[in-house]
Amino acid sequence: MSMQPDIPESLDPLGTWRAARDASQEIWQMTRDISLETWSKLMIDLVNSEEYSQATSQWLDAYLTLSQPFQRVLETTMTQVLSGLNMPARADVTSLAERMTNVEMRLDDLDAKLDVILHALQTFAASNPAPGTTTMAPIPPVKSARTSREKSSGRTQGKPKEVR
Amino acid sequence: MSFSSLPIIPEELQSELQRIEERARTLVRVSTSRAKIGQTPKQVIWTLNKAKLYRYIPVVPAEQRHKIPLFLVFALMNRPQILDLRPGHSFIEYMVKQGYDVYLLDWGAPGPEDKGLKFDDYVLDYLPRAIRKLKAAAGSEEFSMLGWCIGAILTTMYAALRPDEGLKNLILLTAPLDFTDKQAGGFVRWVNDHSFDPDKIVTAFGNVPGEMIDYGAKALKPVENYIGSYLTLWDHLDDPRLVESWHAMNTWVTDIIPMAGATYRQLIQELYQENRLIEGKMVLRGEGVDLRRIRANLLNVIALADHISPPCQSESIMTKVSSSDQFMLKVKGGHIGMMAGSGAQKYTWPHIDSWLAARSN
Repeated sequence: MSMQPDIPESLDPLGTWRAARDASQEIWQMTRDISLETWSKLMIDLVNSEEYSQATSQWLDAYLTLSQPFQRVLETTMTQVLSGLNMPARADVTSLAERMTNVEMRLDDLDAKLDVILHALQTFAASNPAPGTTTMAPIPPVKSARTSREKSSGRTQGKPKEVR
Repeated sequence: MSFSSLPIIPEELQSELQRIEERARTLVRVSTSRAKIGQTPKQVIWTLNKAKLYRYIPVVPAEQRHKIPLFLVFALMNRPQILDLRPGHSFIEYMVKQGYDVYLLDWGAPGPEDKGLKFDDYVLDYLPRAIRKLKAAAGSEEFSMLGWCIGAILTTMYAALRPDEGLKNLILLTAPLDFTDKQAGGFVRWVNDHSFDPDKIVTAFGNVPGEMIDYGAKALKPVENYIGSYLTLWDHLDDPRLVESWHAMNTWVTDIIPMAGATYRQLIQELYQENRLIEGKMVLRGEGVDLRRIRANLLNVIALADHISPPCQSESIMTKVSSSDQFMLKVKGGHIGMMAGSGAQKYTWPHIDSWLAARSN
C-alpha cells in the first residue's frame, strides 16, 4: 500500500484548474438561472397575450382548412380500395367496436343483476338455514318460502309449455 | 473502455472523468428508459370498454380500516399513475396505509371507436357502473369520491346528477369549473379566440391527439417545461433521489393519451366558452346538471400557483352547492406539484387524510 505525500495546494497543478472550474461553473449557473427566469417571464407573458392566441388559432385553422380536403380524398380512396378488396374499412371496424361496448355494458348490467340475486339468495339462506344445520327451531316463514320456491320450480320445470 | 481504467491519468482527473462518465450514463438512462410507476399492489375488479376499476390491496387489518371506501377519478387526458408515482412517494400508497379501501378508475386510452364519447357517457354510463361495482366489492352503500382536474368536472357532474346514490364525501382537486373570467390563464384565452374552432379539430382528428393536448399544457410555461426541467436534471445528476424522482415524473408526463373528440368539443364549447356548468345550463342526456343538488361533504383543494386551472376557476363551486359541510383548502404549488411535488407528502396528503378520516366511519 503506498502513501501519497501531502502536496501543498500551491504546488498542486490540478488545484488551480479545479478552483477555476468551480468558479466558472458557479458564475455560469447563476447567469443561466437569471437569464432563464427572465426568459421564462417573457415567454409566459407572450403565450398569455392576445396576439399569441390569435396567431396560434389562425395557424391551426389554416392547417386544418388546408389539410382537410387531402384527408377526405385519402379516406374516400382508402374506403373504395378496401371495399374493392372486400375488406372492412375503418368505419366498419369502429362501428363493430362500438357495438361490442354496448354488449359489454349490457353484460355488466346482467352481471350486476345476478350479483343482486345471488346476494339476496345468500341472505335468504343465511336467515333461513336448512333443517339440521342449526339448533334453532324452524320458523313458519322458512316453510312458506320453501313452499313458494317449490311451487315456482314446479310451475316452470314440471309443466313446460309446449312450443310448436 | 472506462476512463477510470486508464493508468496514465492522475487520480484526481480520473475521478473527475469517472464522474462525467457516470453522469452521462445516468442522463442516457433516464432519458431513454421508462421508470416503474404505479406499483402499489392492486387488482382489476371491473372493466368496461377501455376503462378499468382497480382495487388496491389493503395493508391495514379490516377492523382498523375506514368503513367508507375511497374512489379516485383522474382526468381523461393523462394516465392516473400520477396518484401512485413510486413507492414511498405515492398518494394511493399513503391512503392505503392510512386505512382506506382505495379504488381507482383508469379511463384508458380512447380508440377511434370512442370518438363519440361525451361527458354524458362518462358520467351516466361509466361512473354509475364503476360505482355499483365498487359498492358491491366494498360492501358499503356509501363512498367518498375524489376527482382531479377533468376528473373533478366528471365527479361534480355525477354528484349533481346522482346525489342519492351514496356519495358521502366529495373531494375536488384543481377543478376547472368556472370560466367566467375569460382572461384567467392561457387555455381560456386560447380557446376563446374567434379563430379557434374545436369542431374543425375533432373533424380532422376524431380523437384529439395527446401530443396536441400535451403541447397546450407545456406551452403555458414553455421555458420551464422544455428547458428548465432538463436543466434541473442536469444540475442534480449526482443526486440519485432527485434523479429517480425526475425519471418517474418524466415517465408519467411523456405517457400521453388522446381525448375522445366529442368530450373535447363539449369541454371547449360548453364549459370553456359557454360556462354552462357553473351557470346551471349544462344538460347531460336531457338531465340538467344542477349544482345545488350536491349535498355531499365537500373538500375543495386549490393550488395557488396553478397555471392550468387557475384558482378562480375552482373557488365559486363553494357557493353553488348545498353541502352544509364544506371546506376550501388552498395549498402552495402548481396543478400537478400540489399532489406529486416534494411538499405534497408533508402538507396536501395529510390534510386530505385528516378531513376524510373524520368523515369516513
